[in-house]
Amino acid sequence: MLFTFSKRKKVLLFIGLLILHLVIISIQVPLGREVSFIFKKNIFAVFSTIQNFVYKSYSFSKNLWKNYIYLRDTSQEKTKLEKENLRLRAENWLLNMELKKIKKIKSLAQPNFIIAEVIGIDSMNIFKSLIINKGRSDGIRKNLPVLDENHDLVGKIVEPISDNQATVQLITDVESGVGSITSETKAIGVLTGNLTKKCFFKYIYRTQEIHKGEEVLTSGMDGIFPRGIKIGRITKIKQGKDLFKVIEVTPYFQLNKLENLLVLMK
Amino acid sequence: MKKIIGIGLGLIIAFLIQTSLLKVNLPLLHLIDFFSIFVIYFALNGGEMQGMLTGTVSGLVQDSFTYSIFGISGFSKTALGFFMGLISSMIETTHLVVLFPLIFIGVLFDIIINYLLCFLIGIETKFSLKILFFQPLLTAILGCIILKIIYRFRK
Repeated sequence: MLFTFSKRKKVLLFIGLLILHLVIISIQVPLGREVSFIFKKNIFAVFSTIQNFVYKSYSFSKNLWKNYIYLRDTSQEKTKLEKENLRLRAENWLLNMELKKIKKIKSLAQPNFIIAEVIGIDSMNIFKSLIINKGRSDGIRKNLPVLDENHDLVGKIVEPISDNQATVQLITDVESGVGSITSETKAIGVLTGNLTKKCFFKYIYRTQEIHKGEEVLTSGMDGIFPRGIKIGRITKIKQGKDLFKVIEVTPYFQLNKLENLLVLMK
Repeated sequence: MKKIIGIGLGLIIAFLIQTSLLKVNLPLLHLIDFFSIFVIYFALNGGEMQGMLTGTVSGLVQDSFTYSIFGISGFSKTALGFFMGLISSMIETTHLVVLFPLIFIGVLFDIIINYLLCFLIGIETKFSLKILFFQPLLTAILGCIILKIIYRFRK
Protein backbone atom coordinates (compact mmCIF):
# COMPACT_ATOMS: atom_id res chain seq x y z
CA MET A 1 0.00 0.00 0.00
CA LEU A 2 1.28 3.48 -0.87
CA PHE A 3 0.15 5.26 2.27
CA THR A 4 0.24 3.60 5.67
CA PHE A 5 -1.73 5.49 8.28
CA SER A 6 -3.84 4.39 11.21
CA LYS A 7 -7.60 4.15 10.68
CA ARG A 8 -8.17 7.20 12.89
CA LYS A 9 -5.69 9.33 10.94
CA LYS A 10 -7.30 8.29 7.66
CA VAL A 11 -10.73 9.35 8.88
CA LEU A 12 -9.33 12.64 10.16
CA LEU A 13 -7.62 13.33 6.84
CA PHE A 14 -10.82 12.42 4.99
CA ILE A 15 -12.82 14.88 7.09
CA GLY A 16 -10.07 17.47 6.60
CA LEU A 17 -10.19 17.09 2.82
CA LEU A 18 -13.97 17.40 2.77
CA ILE A 19 -13.77 20.55 4.91
CA LEU A 20 -11.09 21.94 2.57
CA HIS A 21 -13.41 21.44 -0.41
CA LEU A 22 -16.29 23.03 1.46
CA VAL A 23 -14.10 26.03 2.30
CA ILE A 24 -13.08 26.38 -1.38
CA ILE A 25 -16.74 26.17 -2.41
CA SER A 26 -17.95 28.60 0.25
CA ILE A 27 -15.35 31.20 -0.76
CA GLN A 28 -16.73 31.23 -4.30
CA VAL A 29 -20.47 31.14 -3.56
CA PRO A 30 -20.94 34.69 -2.20
CA LEU A 31 -18.51 36.18 -4.71
CA GLY A 32 -19.95 34.44 -7.76
CA ARG A 33 -18.23 32.14 -10.24
CA GLU A 34 -16.76 35.06 -12.13
CA VAL A 35 -14.09 35.03 -9.44
CA SER A 36 -11.09 33.30 -10.91
CA PHE A 37 -9.56 30.80 -8.58
CA ILE A 38 -5.81 30.80 -9.05
CA PHE A 39 -5.71 27.09 -8.19
CA LYS A 40 -8.33 26.31 -10.82
CA LYS A 41 -6.44 28.35 -13.41
CA ASN A 42 -3.19 26.52 -12.71
CA ILE A 43 -4.74 23.05 -12.92
CA PHE A 44 -6.52 24.10 -16.09
CA ALA A 45 -3.32 25.49 -17.61
CA VAL A 46 -1.46 22.21 -17.06
CA PHE A 47 -4.21 19.93 -18.32
CA SER A 48 -5.34 22.09 -21.20
CA THR A 49 -1.77 22.03 -22.51
CA ILE A 50 -1.86 18.23 -22.52
CA GLN A 51 -5.30 18.29 -24.11
CA ASN A 52 -4.23 20.78 -26.75
CA PHE A 53 -1.20 18.70 -27.61
CA VAL A 54 -3.33 15.58 -28.05
CA TYR A 55 -5.92 17.40 -30.16
CA LYS A 56 -3.19 18.86 -32.36
CA SER A 57 -1.60 15.42 -32.79
CA TYR A 58 -5.03 13.97 -33.59
CA SER A 59 -5.74 16.70 -36.17
CA PHE A 60 -2.26 16.35 -37.64
CA SER A 61 -2.53 12.59 -38.15
CA LYS A 62 -6.08 12.95 -39.46
CA ASN A 63 -4.98 15.60 -41.96
CA LEU A 64 -1.92 13.63 -42.96
CA TRP A 65 -4.05 10.62 -43.76
CA LYS A 66 -6.70 12.68 -45.51
CA ASN A 67 -4.12 14.58 -47.56
CA TYR A 68 -2.30 11.42 -48.53
CA ILE A 69 -5.49 9.76 -49.74
CA TYR A 70 -6.54 12.79 -51.78
CA LEU A 71 -3.08 13.78 -52.89
CA ARG A 72 -3.73 12.64 -56.45
CA ASP A 73 -6.50 15.18 -56.92
CA THR A 74 -4.81 18.05 -55.09
CA SER A 75 -3.33 19.76 -58.14
CA GLN A 76 -6.60 19.70 -60.08
CA GLU A 77 -8.48 20.78 -56.97
CA LYS A 78 -6.05 23.69 -56.45
CA THR A 79 -6.53 24.99 -59.99
CA LYS A 80 -10.29 24.70 -59.63
CA LEU A 81 -10.28 26.52 -56.28
CA GLU A 82 -8.01 29.27 -57.61
CA LYS A 83 -10.46 29.95 -60.39
CA GLU A 84 -13.37 29.85 -57.97
CA ASN A 85 -11.54 32.20 -55.60
CA LEU A 86 -10.85 34.66 -58.44
CA ARG A 87 -14.49 34.56 -59.49
CA LEU A 88 -15.72 35.14 -55.95
CA ARG A 89 -13.28 37.99 -55.38
CA ALA A 90 -14.41 39.68 -58.55
CA GLU A 91 -18.03 39.14 -57.63
CA ASN A 92 -17.41 40.51 -54.16
CA TRP A 93 -15.67 43.59 -55.58
CA LEU A 94 -18.52 44.27 -57.98
CA LEU A 95 -21.11 43.82 -55.25
CA ASN A 96 -19.18 46.17 -52.96
CA MET A 97 -19.11 48.78 -55.71
CA GLU A 98 -22.85 48.39 -56.25
CA LEU A 99 -23.52 48.63 -52.55
CA LYS A 100 -21.44 51.78 -52.26
CA LYS A 101 -23.43 53.34 -55.04
CA ILE A 102 -26.79 52.31 -53.58
CA LYS A 103 -26.19 53.14 -49.94
CA LYS A 104 -23.72 55.92 -50.62
CA ILE A 105 -21.31 54.67 -48.02
CA LYS A 106 -17.63 55.21 -48.45
CA SER A 107 -16.30 51.96 -47.06
CA LEU A 108 -17.73 48.70 -45.92
CA ALA A 109 -16.85 47.32 -42.53
CA GLN A 110 -14.99 44.07 -42.92
CA PRO A 111 -16.28 41.22 -40.81
CA ASN A 112 -13.82 40.56 -38.04
CA PHE A 113 -13.86 37.12 -36.47
CA ILE A 114 -11.68 34.37 -35.12
CA ILE A 115 -12.19 30.69 -35.85
CA ALA A 116 -11.93 28.60 -32.69
CA GLU A 117 -12.14 24.90 -32.01
CA VAL A 118 -14.13 23.30 -29.19
CA ILE A 119 -11.71 21.54 -26.83
CA GLY A 120 -13.79 20.95 -23.72
CA ILE A 121 -17.27 20.88 -22.32
CA ASP A 122 -18.88 21.08 -18.91
CA SER A 123 -19.19 17.42 -18.01
CA MET A 124 -21.73 18.20 -15.28
CA ASN A 125 -24.09 19.73 -17.80
CA ILE A 126 -23.37 19.79 -21.51
CA PHE A 127 -25.87 22.60 -22.08
CA LYS A 128 -24.01 25.01 -19.81
CA SER A 129 -20.62 25.89 -21.23
CA LEU A 130 -17.75 24.79 -23.40
CA ILE A 131 -14.09 25.60 -23.80
CA ILE A 132 -12.45 26.84 -26.98
CA ASN A 133 -8.80 26.83 -28.02
CA LYS A 134 -8.50 30.62 -28.34
CA GLY A 135 -7.71 32.91 -25.46
CA ARG A 136 -6.23 36.20 -24.35
CA SER A 137 -3.34 36.10 -26.83
CA ASP A 138 -5.85 35.92 -29.70
CA GLY A 139 -7.65 39.01 -28.45
CA ILE A 140 -10.51 37.08 -26.85
CA ARG A 141 -12.35 39.16 -24.26
CA LYS A 142 -15.38 38.79 -22.05
CA ASN A 143 -18.81 39.07 -23.72
CA LEU A 144 -17.73 38.46 -27.32
CA PRO A 145 -20.52 36.68 -29.27
CA VAL A 146 -19.86 33.11 -30.44
CA LEU A 147 -21.53 31.61 -33.53
CA ASP A 148 -21.49 28.18 -35.14
CA GLU A 149 -20.42 27.39 -38.71
CA ASN A 150 -23.89 28.36 -40.03
CA HIS A 151 -23.65 31.75 -38.26
CA ASP A 152 -26.29 30.81 -35.68
CA LEU A 153 -25.84 32.04 -32.13
CA VAL A 154 -24.13 29.63 -29.74
CA GLY A 155 -23.29 31.86 -26.77
CA LYS A 156 -20.79 34.38 -25.51
CA ILE A 157 -17.32 34.40 -24.00
CA VAL A 158 -17.52 34.52 -20.24
CA GLU A 159 -13.90 34.29 -19.37
CA PRO A 160 -10.62 33.92 -21.22
CA ILE A 161 -9.06 31.35 -18.87
CA SER A 162 -5.57 31.51 -20.30
CA ASP A 163 -3.66 32.81 -23.31
CA ASN A 164 -4.99 29.93 -25.43
CA GLN A 165 -8.33 28.98 -23.90
CA ALA A 166 -11.62 30.63 -23.10
CA THR A 167 -14.97 29.57 -21.69
CA VAL A 168 -18.12 30.05 -23.75
CA GLN A 169 -21.45 30.31 -21.96
CA LEU A 170 -24.08 28.60 -24.11
CA ILE A 171 -27.46 30.25 -24.72
CA THR A 172 -29.00 27.08 -23.24
CA ASP A 173 -27.45 27.90 -19.84
CA VAL A 174 -30.01 28.93 -17.27
CA GLU A 175 -27.99 32.05 -16.41
CA SER A 176 -27.69 33.19 -20.02
CA GLY A 177 -29.75 36.15 -21.25
CA VAL A 178 -29.91 37.31 -24.85
CA GLY A 179 -31.85 40.36 -26.00
CA SER A 180 -34.08 38.92 -28.75
CA ILE A 181 -36.70 39.84 -31.30
CA THR A 182 -39.07 37.74 -33.41
CA SER A 183 -38.78 37.98 -37.19
CA GLU A 184 -42.46 38.59 -38.09
CA THR A 185 -44.33 40.05 -35.13
CA LYS A 186 -41.25 41.96 -33.90
CA ALA A 187 -41.91 41.00 -30.27
CA ILE A 188 -39.00 41.97 -28.05
CA GLY A 189 -37.93 39.85 -25.09
CA VAL A 190 -35.08 38.01 -23.43
CA LEU A 191 -33.99 34.51 -24.40
CA THR A 192 -32.79 32.31 -21.55
CA GLY A 193 -31.84 28.66 -21.35
CA ASN A 194 -32.97 25.93 -18.98
CA LEU A 195 -30.05 23.49 -19.27
CA THR A 196 -31.79 21.39 -21.91
CA LYS A 197 -31.91 21.54 -25.72
CA LYS A 198 -34.63 24.23 -25.48
CA CYS A 199 -34.58 27.92 -24.59
CA PHE A 200 -37.33 30.23 -23.35
CA PHE A 201 -38.31 33.57 -24.83
CA LYS A 202 -39.34 35.60 -21.79
CA TYR A 203 -41.27 38.78 -20.96
CA ILE A 204 -43.80 38.61 -23.80
CA TYR A 205 -47.19 39.84 -22.55
CA ARG A 206 -50.15 37.46 -22.81
CA THR A 207 -51.91 39.97 -25.04
CA GLN A 208 -49.00 40.35 -27.45
CA GLU A 209 -49.26 38.67 -30.83
CA ILE A 210 -46.62 36.03 -31.53
CA HIS A 211 -46.68 32.94 -33.76
CA LYS A 212 -45.42 29.40 -33.49
CA GLY A 213 -42.70 28.74 -36.08
CA GLU A 214 -41.43 32.33 -36.04
CA GLU A 215 -37.70 32.84 -36.14
CA VAL A 216 -35.99 34.45 -33.14
CA LEU A 217 -33.07 36.80 -33.78
CA THR A 218 -30.82 38.88 -31.56
CA SER A 219 -32.26 42.36 -30.96
CA GLY A 220 -28.95 44.07 -30.23
CA MET A 221 -30.51 45.74 -27.21
CA ASP A 222 -28.34 43.97 -24.66
CA GLY A 223 -25.21 45.65 -25.99
CA ILE A 224 -23.46 42.27 -26.31
CA PHE A 225 -24.89 40.54 -29.36
CA PRO A 226 -25.17 42.48 -32.65
CA ARG A 227 -28.68 42.75 -34.06
CA GLY A 228 -29.92 40.12 -36.53
CA ILE A 229 -28.03 36.96 -35.57
CA LYS A 230 -30.26 33.93 -35.96
CA ILE A 231 -30.96 32.08 -32.72
CA GLY A 232 -33.74 29.58 -33.33
CA ARG A 233 -37.42 28.99 -33.95
CA ILE A 234 -40.46 29.17 -31.67
CA THR A 235 -41.72 25.62 -31.11
CA LYS A 236 -44.30 26.04 -28.36
CA ILE A 237 -46.46 28.87 -26.99
CA LYS A 238 -48.50 28.59 -23.79
CA GLN A 239 -50.42 31.13 -21.73
CA GLY A 240 -48.46 31.61 -18.51
CA LYS A 241 -49.87 31.88 -15.01
CA ASP A 242 -48.60 35.44 -14.63
CA LEU A 243 -48.58 38.39 -17.05
CA PHE A 244 -46.43 36.68 -19.62
CA LYS A 245 -46.62 33.90 -22.16
CA VAL A 246 -44.43 30.79 -21.89
CA ILE A 247 -42.59 30.55 -25.21
CA GLU A 248 -40.27 27.67 -26.02
CA VAL A 249 -37.54 28.22 -28.60
CA THR A 250 -35.48 25.49 -30.23
CA PRO A 251 -32.02 26.89 -30.95
CA TYR A 252 -30.53 26.29 -34.39
CA PHE A 253 -27.10 25.28 -33.13
CA GLN A 254 -26.60 21.58 -32.50
CA LEU A 255 -24.29 20.73 -29.68
CA ASN A 256 -23.18 17.41 -31.13
CA LYS A 257 -22.16 19.08 -34.39
CA LEU A 258 -20.13 21.91 -32.89
CA GLU A 259 -16.53 21.69 -33.94
CA ASN A 260 -15.42 25.05 -35.23
CA LEU A 261 -16.89 28.23 -33.81
CA LEU A 262 -16.70 31.85 -34.89
CA VAL A 263 -15.91 34.44 -32.24
CA LEU A 264 -17.09 37.86 -33.38
CA MET A 265 -14.54 40.50 -32.48
CA LYS A 266 -15.89 43.96 -31.82
CA MET B 1 7.48 6.70 -6.34
CA LYS B 2 6.45 4.14 -8.96
CA LYS B 3 2.93 4.22 -7.57
CA ILE B 4 2.76 8.04 -7.70
CA ILE B 5 3.88 8.01 -11.34
CA GLY B 6 1.24 5.35 -11.97
CA ILE B 7 -1.46 7.55 -10.41
CA GLY B 8 -0.29 10.56 -12.43
CA LEU B 9 -0.33 8.57 -15.66
CA GLY B 10 -3.70 7.09 -14.81
CA LEU B 11 -5.11 10.56 -14.23
CA ILE B 12 -3.75 11.86 -17.54
CA ILE B 13 -5.15 8.84 -19.40
CA ALA B 14 -8.58 9.21 -17.73
CA PHE B 15 -8.56 12.91 -18.56
CA LEU B 16 -7.58 12.36 -22.18
CA ILE B 17 -10.16 9.64 -22.77
CA GLN B 18 -12.88 11.69 -21.08
CA THR B 19 -12.14 14.81 -23.12
CA SER B 20 -11.63 12.83 -26.34
CA LEU B 21 -15.27 11.76 -26.12
CA LEU B 22 -15.98 15.32 -27.20
CA LYS B 23 -14.56 14.50 -30.61
CA VAL B 24 -16.14 11.06 -30.83
CA ASN B 25 -19.65 11.54 -29.53
CA LEU B 26 -20.71 14.44 -27.37
CA PRO B 27 -23.68 12.87 -25.56
CA LEU B 28 -21.36 10.04 -24.47
CA LEU B 29 -19.42 12.61 -22.47
CA HIS B 30 -22.46 12.90 -20.26
CA LEU B 31 -22.96 9.18 -19.88
CA ILE B 32 -19.48 7.89 -19.09
CA ASP B 33 -17.26 9.08 -16.26
CA PHE B 34 -13.70 7.88 -16.72
CA PHE B 35 -12.57 9.90 -13.70
CA SER B 36 -14.79 7.72 -11.50
CA ILE B 37 -13.28 4.55 -12.99
CA PHE B 38 -9.82 5.99 -12.26
CA VAL B 39 -10.69 6.82 -8.64
CA ILE B 40 -12.44 3.48 -8.04
CA TYR B 41 -9.50 1.51 -9.47
CA PHE B 42 -6.91 3.22 -7.26
CA ALA B 43 -9.21 3.09 -4.22
CA LEU B 44 -9.91 -0.64 -4.62
CA ASN B 45 -6.22 -1.37 -5.07
CA GLY B 46 -4.69 1.04 -2.61
CA GLY B 47 -7.22 1.58 0.15
CA GLU B 48 -8.94 4.65 1.63
CA MET B 49 -5.86 6.88 1.68
CA GLN B 50 -4.98 6.39 -1.97
CA GLY B 51 -8.66 6.52 -2.90
CA MET B 52 -9.39 9.87 -1.28
CA LEU B 53 -6.21 11.51 -2.56
CA THR B 54 -6.75 10.37 -6.15
CA GLY B 55 -10.39 11.44 -5.70
CA THR B 56 -9.36 14.93 -4.61
CA VAL B 57 -6.91 15.39 -7.46
CA SER B 58 -9.16 14.03 -10.22
CA GLY B 59 -12.19 15.89 -8.87
CA LEU B 60 -10.33 19.18 -8.93
CA VAL B 61 -9.07 18.50 -12.46
CA GLN B 62 -12.67 17.81 -13.51
CA ASP B 63 -13.79 21.00 -11.75
CA SER B 64 -11.20 23.13 -13.50
CA PHE B 65 -12.81 22.28 -16.85
CA THR B 66 -16.34 23.25 -15.89
CA TYR B 67 -17.97 26.65 -15.69
CA SER B 68 -19.26 25.78 -12.27
CA ILE B 69 -18.19 26.17 -8.68
CA PHE B 70 -14.65 24.83 -8.21
CA GLY B 71 -14.53 22.03 -5.64
CA ILE B 72 -17.86 20.28 -6.16
CA SER B 73 -16.46 17.29 -8.03
CA GLY B 74 -13.42 17.42 -5.76
CA PHE B 75 -15.72 16.88 -2.77
CA SER B 76 -17.75 14.08 -4.32
CA LYS B 77 -14.75 12.23 -5.76
CA THR B 78 -12.89 12.44 -2.42
CA ALA B 79 -15.87 10.82 -0.72
CA LEU B 80 -16.11 8.24 -3.52
CA GLY B 81 -12.42 7.34 -3.21
CA PHE B 82 -12.57 7.04 0.58
CA PHE B 83 -15.64 4.81 0.69
CA MET B 84 -14.45 2.60 -2.17
CA GLY B 85 -11.14 2.14 -0.35
CA LEU B 86 -13.00 1.29 2.84
CA ILE B 87 -15.15 -1.30 1.06
CA SER B 88 -12.09 -2.86 -0.58
CA SER B 89 -10.61 -3.55 2.84
CA MET B 90 -13.77 -5.43 3.86
CA ILE B 91 -14.62 -7.54 0.81
CA GLU B 92 -12.95 -9.12 -2.20
CA THR B 93 -13.67 -6.79 -5.11
CA THR B 94 -12.02 -8.40 -8.12
CA HIS B 95 -14.96 -10.62 -9.06
CA LEU B 96 -17.40 -9.19 -11.60
CA VAL B 97 -20.41 -9.96 -9.42
CA VAL B 98 -19.01 -7.57 -6.82
CA LEU B 99 -17.19 -5.16 -9.12
CA PHE B 100 -20.15 -4.24 -11.32
CA PRO B 101 -22.60 -3.21 -8.57
CA LEU B 102 -19.76 -1.54 -6.72
CA ILE B 103 -18.89 0.74 -9.65
CA PHE B 104 -22.59 1.32 -10.37
CA ILE B 105 -23.32 2.39 -6.79
CA GLY B 106 -20.08 4.40 -6.62
CA VAL B 107 -20.91 6.46 -9.72
CA LEU B 108 -24.50 6.91 -8.57
CA PHE B 109 -23.22 8.11 -5.20
CA ASP B 110 -20.90 10.60 -6.96
CA ILE B 111 -23.76 12.01 -9.07
CA ILE B 112 -26.11 12.30 -6.08
CA ILE B 113 -23.46 14.12 -4.00
CA ASN B 114 -22.89 16.47 -6.95
CA TYR B 115 -26.61 17.20 -7.29
CA LEU B 116 -27.01 17.66 -3.54
CA LEU B 117 -24.09 20.10 -3.34
CA CYS B 118 -25.42 22.09 -6.31
CA PHE B 119 -28.85 22.16 -4.68
CA LEU B 120 -27.45 23.34 -1.34
CA ILE B 121 -25.32 26.03 -2.96
CA GLY B 122 -28.19 27.17 -5.15
CA ILE B 123 -26.76 26.28 -8.55
CA GLU B 124 -29.56 25.42 -10.93
CA THR B 125 -28.99 21.94 -12.37
CA LYS B 126 -31.36 19.79 -14.37
CA PHE B 127 -32.08 16.64 -12.40
CA SER B 128 -31.98 13.98 -15.09
CA LEU B 129 -33.14 10.43 -14.44
CA LYS B 130 -31.43 9.42 -17.69
CA ILE B 131 -28.05 10.45 -16.29
CA LEU B 132 -28.86 9.00 -12.90
CA PHE B 133 -29.37 5.58 -14.46
CA PHE B 134 -27.30 5.45 -17.65
CA GLN B 135 -24.11 7.10 -16.38
CA PRO B 136 -23.64 4.52 -13.58
CA LEU B 137 -24.67 1.71 -15.92
CA LEU B 138 -22.36 2.58 -18.82
CA THR B 139 -19.50 3.55 -16.52
CA ALA B 140 -19.90 0.27 -14.62
CA ILE B 141 -19.85 -1.78 -17.85
CA LEU B 142 -16.77 0.05 -19.14
CA GLY B 143 -15.14 0.09 -15.71
CA CYS B 144 -15.51 -3.68 -15.38
CA ILE B 145 -13.95 -4.22 -18.81
CA ILE B 146 -11.03 -1.85 -18.11
CA LEU B 147 -10.35 -3.17 -14.61
CA LYS B 148 -10.52 -6.79 -15.77
CA ILE B 149 -8.01 -6.03 -18.55
CA ILE B 150 -5.67 -4.33 -16.06
CA TYR B 151 -5.95 -7.25 -13.61
CA ARG B 152 -5.16 -9.69 -16.39
CA PHE B 153 -2.06 -7.71 -17.44
CA ARG B 154 -0.90 -7.45 -13.85
CA LYS B 155 -1.02 -11.24 -13.51
